Amino acid sequence: MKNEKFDLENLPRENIFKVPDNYFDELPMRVQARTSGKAKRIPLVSWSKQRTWASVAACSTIAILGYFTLMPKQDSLGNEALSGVQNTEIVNYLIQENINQTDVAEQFENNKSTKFKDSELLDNLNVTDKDILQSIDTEHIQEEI
Amino acid sequence: MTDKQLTDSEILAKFAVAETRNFAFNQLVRIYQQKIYWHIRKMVIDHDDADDLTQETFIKAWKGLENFKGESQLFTWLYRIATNECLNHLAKKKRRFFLPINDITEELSNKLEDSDMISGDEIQLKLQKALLTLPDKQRLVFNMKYFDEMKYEEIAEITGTSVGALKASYHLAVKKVEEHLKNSPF
Repeated sequence: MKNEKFDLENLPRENIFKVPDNYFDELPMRVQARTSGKAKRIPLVSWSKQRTWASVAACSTIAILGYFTLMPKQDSLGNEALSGVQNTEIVNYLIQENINQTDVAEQFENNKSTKFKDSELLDNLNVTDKDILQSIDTEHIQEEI
Repeated sequence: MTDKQLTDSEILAKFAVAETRNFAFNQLVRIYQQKIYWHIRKMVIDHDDADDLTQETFIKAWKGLENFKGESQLFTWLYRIATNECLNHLAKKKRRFFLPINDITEELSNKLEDSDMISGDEIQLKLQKALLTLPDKQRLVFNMKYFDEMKYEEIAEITGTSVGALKASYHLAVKKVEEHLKNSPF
């Protein structure tokens, strides 16, 4: 039959589909049961474009609000964490880690974003004038003078 | 089952009266259920889907019958509801699974082969498979013209398409199906 002209009009028109036994006897009763409300259908949660977009929008809003309210700022974390630490403990820690005052001062100097002024820096380090004098190259100062 | 089948106007008249509403609607379902079911079944292939859509068609008819103006026959009005149910179902199926048309065709084609609710010789199965390669609306027109032997005017009323466009669509569908069957190995 391949490659021959096929004429649909000559083909018998058969219904190849079948239904379960007594299907058409029962269908009117099943429809009637639904129209009279005896068998209410349970609503199915089906995919809906609007619901999907609404969910995405809600999740995004929660994520944005959560980020700005719950995520701690870097600055505040640092200040709050250090506010509860005694200066003497910091000094002891620096000594233990073998970090001298010059290293600390250089670190602050290199950090452009620091808000400390030089005087505040010295206050925070809790150093005395005597300590400063010991640390500074006096010959260099004398040359400046 | 009553001895005498009610006419459309008798069904509508009885449906308008609260006491006979259920009886009238039951008669309507009994008269048109087979036409509607087979119309749907040929489109969706699967019996369970066809059963669900047939029930939905009659539920919508129940809700809308009160406002039915009688501008068309009850039969064409029901066919229109059933046709919309079918096309929406097939479109939803494609959207839900993000499947290209070929995958849907294959899915329905597999149902033709595997379902125990389908019988028929090989050529009839080939014809059904060939029909699945047509676009849904063209397949719908083909089914109504070829199997249901409806007039173009009736199909036009159901689909809202002009008679000329329907003739062209059916002619093309026949050519495609014949070509498909000619090239199909038997």
